[in-house]
Amino acid sequence: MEEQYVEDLKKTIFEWTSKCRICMSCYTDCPLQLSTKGFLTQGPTGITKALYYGILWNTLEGKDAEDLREIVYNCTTCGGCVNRCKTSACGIEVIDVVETGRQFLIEKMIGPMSEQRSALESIYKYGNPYGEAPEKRLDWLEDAEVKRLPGDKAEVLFYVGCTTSYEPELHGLARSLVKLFKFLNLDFGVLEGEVCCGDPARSIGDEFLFEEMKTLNVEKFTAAGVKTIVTASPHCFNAFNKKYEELADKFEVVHYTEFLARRFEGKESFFEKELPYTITYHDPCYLGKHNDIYEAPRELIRKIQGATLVEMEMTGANSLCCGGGGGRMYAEMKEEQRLADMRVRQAQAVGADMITTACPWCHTMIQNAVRDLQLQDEIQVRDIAELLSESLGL
Amino acid sequence: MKIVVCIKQTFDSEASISLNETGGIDDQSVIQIVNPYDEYAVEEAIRLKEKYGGEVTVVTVGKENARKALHQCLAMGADHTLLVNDPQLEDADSHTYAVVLSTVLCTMDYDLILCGREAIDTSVSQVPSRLAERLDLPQINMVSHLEIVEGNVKATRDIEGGSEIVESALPAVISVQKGINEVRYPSLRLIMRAKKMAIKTFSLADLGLTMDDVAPYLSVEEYIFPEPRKEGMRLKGEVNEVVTQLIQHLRHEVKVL
Amino acid sequence: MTVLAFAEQRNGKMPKAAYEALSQGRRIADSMEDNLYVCLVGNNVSGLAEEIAACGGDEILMCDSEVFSSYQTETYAAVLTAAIRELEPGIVLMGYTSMGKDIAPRVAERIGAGLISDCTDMEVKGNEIYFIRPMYAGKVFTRVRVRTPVKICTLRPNNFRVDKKQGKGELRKFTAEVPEVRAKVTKIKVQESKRPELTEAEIIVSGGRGLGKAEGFRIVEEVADTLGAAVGASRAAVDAGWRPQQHQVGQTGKVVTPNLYVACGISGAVQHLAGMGSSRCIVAINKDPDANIMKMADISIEGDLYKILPELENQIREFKGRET
Ligand SMILES: Cc1cc2nc3c(=O)[nH]c(=O)nc-3n(C[C@H](O)[C@H](O)[C@H](O)COP(=O)(O)OP(=O)(O)OC[C@H]3O[C@@H](n4cnc5c(N)ncnc54)[C@H](O)[C@@H]3O)c2cc1C
Repeated sequence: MEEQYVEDLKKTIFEWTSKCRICMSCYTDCPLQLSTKGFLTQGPTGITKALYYGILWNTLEGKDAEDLREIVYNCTTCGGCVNRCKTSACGIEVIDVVETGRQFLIEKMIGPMSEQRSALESIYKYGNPYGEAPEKRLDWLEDAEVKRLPGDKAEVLFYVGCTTSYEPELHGLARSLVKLFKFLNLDFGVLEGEVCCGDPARSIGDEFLFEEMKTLNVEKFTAAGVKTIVTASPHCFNAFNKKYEELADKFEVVHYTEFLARRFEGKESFFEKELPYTITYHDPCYLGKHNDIYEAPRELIRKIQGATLVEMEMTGANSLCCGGGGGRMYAEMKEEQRLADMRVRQAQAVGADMITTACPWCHTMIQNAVRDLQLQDEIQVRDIAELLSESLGL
Repeated sequence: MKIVVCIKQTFDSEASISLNETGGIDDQSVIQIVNPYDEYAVEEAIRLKEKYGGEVTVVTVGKENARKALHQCLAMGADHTLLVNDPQLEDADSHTYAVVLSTVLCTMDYDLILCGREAIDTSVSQVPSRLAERLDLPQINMVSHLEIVEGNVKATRDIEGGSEIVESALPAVISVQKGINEVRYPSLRLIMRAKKMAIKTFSLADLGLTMDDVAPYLSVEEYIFPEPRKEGMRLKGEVNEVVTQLIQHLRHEVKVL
Repeated sequence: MTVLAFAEQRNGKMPKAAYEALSQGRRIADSMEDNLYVCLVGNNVSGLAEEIAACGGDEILMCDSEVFSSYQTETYAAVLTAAIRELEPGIVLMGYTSMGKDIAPRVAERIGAGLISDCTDMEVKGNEIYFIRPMYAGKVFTRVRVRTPVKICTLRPNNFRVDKKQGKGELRKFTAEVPEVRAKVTKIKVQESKRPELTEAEIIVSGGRGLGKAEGFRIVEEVADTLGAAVGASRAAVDAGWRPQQHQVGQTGKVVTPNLYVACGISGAVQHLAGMGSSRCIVAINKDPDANIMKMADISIEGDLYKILPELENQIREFKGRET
């Protein structure tokens, strides 16, 4: 007899997938359709149906299992299909199916993809997916005055996140946010001993590891005694807001773009330094599609003197995913599948000389794409926070 | 098929090494893992079990903490685990391990013994062959591919510039190498569940071994920490200029070209 | 103290590691004022006697028969055991090669001897020998003594000098009883390569994830070939399927000690350094000035490897052309 846990996973998958009427509307919103050969299994319905039949017919061994893993782990969980299904079809939570499917594959030891394994192990061992030493997590922080919670006390916690903490290219983002918070005279601090929010574990399919990280984080936030948590990454923001039931009512969790848009309202005149760029904004899926935050980042960009905001062909709710979500960040992408390359081309097409974004993963993916395409001299990749702090002359 | 896998818990490969008050290697403040090569061995054993039926027993010589390593193996799908833990094993060398493991194995029934090619801590690559010798079994080391053909093993063993195909009757001792398989990921849920499973534990006395039986052949006289490499010359700029500088330096200063 | 060296050979050719074992054996024999004995096993290998003598071999115990035409653990171990039992040497030396790794522990357990694997240095003090060997991937070295009367030691390739020093070179036919072979080598697949074996190479050019694709190795190979070098790879490059496992350098690959190691598009993770950190000269080519490898290389070039490597190949060709 199979364990109840696995049975429940199957049930969830079956329930959702049996609702699908195979109308295929979601294929127009699936980035995989653009970046792959466009097989049926490279789109939402195909992915969920592959899972459904894989389980139903119990074809979970050998090559079948490998194929199924490839299919199910291909999804970047951007959320385009979910929104489409809600408006045009039957409202299937496709991402829940995909994530449940991954949990199932992990239970069957078919998942995750081999490169994702070390990310999960590292979260378990070090509290970050990159195999980095926990004691180096705050190395980016040059400013000795910044409060360190829970030893110090503050109202606002700046939750930095793993990628922003460890990736040198993103230290500019972290430091800019610190400068902006100081400019706003905010009573804020960073966590001593911050750990991963668990989002990668969830999206790759180790639910228990996610729960473990959740417990740790809830403890740490409670000990820090803050009112508000501001995150650098939309992924941490999304996890805290939607998957940490324990945080509801206790803390306000905000992504920094919304937080700053509020605080800088009416403060346009401070952004004195001209930054004469043609800027395009790449909507991170976990800010836009998942949380409907489209305006706040754009408001911030519009405050910058001298900058012109141009929109790419695919923008807002129709934005093209960078390819880094859903645990894809840790997996190697084949040449033809680089969504970020396409995104950079789209930016080029509207004459942008700068791509801004508000997500460390999008930032990394797009930065790498610019490098791959050897466009470093033509297009810069910066985070909105960096531009703001520069424009304020900080 | 009954398979025994001998594993060792080792320091995480990122761990920094320091000495404790007694002058030994400090093992308190480091993260410990299943030796990566042994993970391949456990994985291979489980795959063979899945294919041919049977059971997998994982044996380790280690401290209390080594239970964690065994939990991981159980979560991956091993059936039984066994820990030999004794304070008298503090100075163990590979001969000691071979004595202990062979004593344990003498009491067991098996068709195949799998090990990792080496442990990434001491990296001596001795235990599998010493064990095979003590049990008077054939050995195949550095195996990157394994098949069972009509009750015999057919293994690909890596050698310089190529490989050998080695065939042997069972039982045999086989040490495996990276490339043989991809190790599965045991979720945290399965690890938690494994924590509730039993681990048989033995002391030396339980095995009927005395201090003399396990006396090591080697004695470590001193630990020497190498000077970290210093940052050298940095070159940046026009490609043809930096390359010229590099070649000049390699020819005239380092004299390697 | 009698010194015995095992002259590893395959198809009548000794690898560099065998010469290193002979030379090191000669040096110890000299300091002990004793003979260097050599154990040579194979089929039609008497031709090697001259080379062995040139590296200092005094008395060569040669076990030459069709039975030994290919390496089999059990037969070779039987011969080496018999030679040790007859000579009762204080020390037995061989290379830390796939053969050495296989046979040494087997023989050591049989005769009850301590074995130092992967030795990088030795200190002879009177009648005592102290062995230096790395642990924890080279993060620490240990100075070890062997308590047993016979000490066996496998030498890390490329760490012991090869000296030409004429020994007596007396060839003595040696026989030993060999058992029925249970684990039998039935096929040997060795790819003929014009490039040197990784562990023996004086120069290695290695590529990592920074190459971006399998074809990227072409330029690495071209540079390697102009230098007569071997080609290595980081694990990332191997796992991506760009290179075979045999080319991986590092903790889960090969440990190398060349005179020159050129790391192209490799970040310098500790596990990679474990395999090449004691190279005599390290050159790093990387676009990221903060990459770990750039902080420990003797010479580092910051820039795009796709621009630097072709230029490097050109310039090497140029000066090689001038030299000849
Ligand atoms: C148990 C264990 C064992 C391991 N064993 C090994 C091992 O034996 N060997 C090993 O190598 N690794 C090993 N690893 C993996 C190791 O941790 C690293 O992941 C790996 O070495 C990284 O390979 P890399 O340097 O090629 O890739 P990365 O770390 O991704 O580095 C790529 C580098 O290329 C540079 N680059 C990119 N594009 C260019 C360009 N156009 N021009 C110039 N530079 C460029 C980048 O700046 C970067 O520094 C092991 C890991 C574990 C956990």
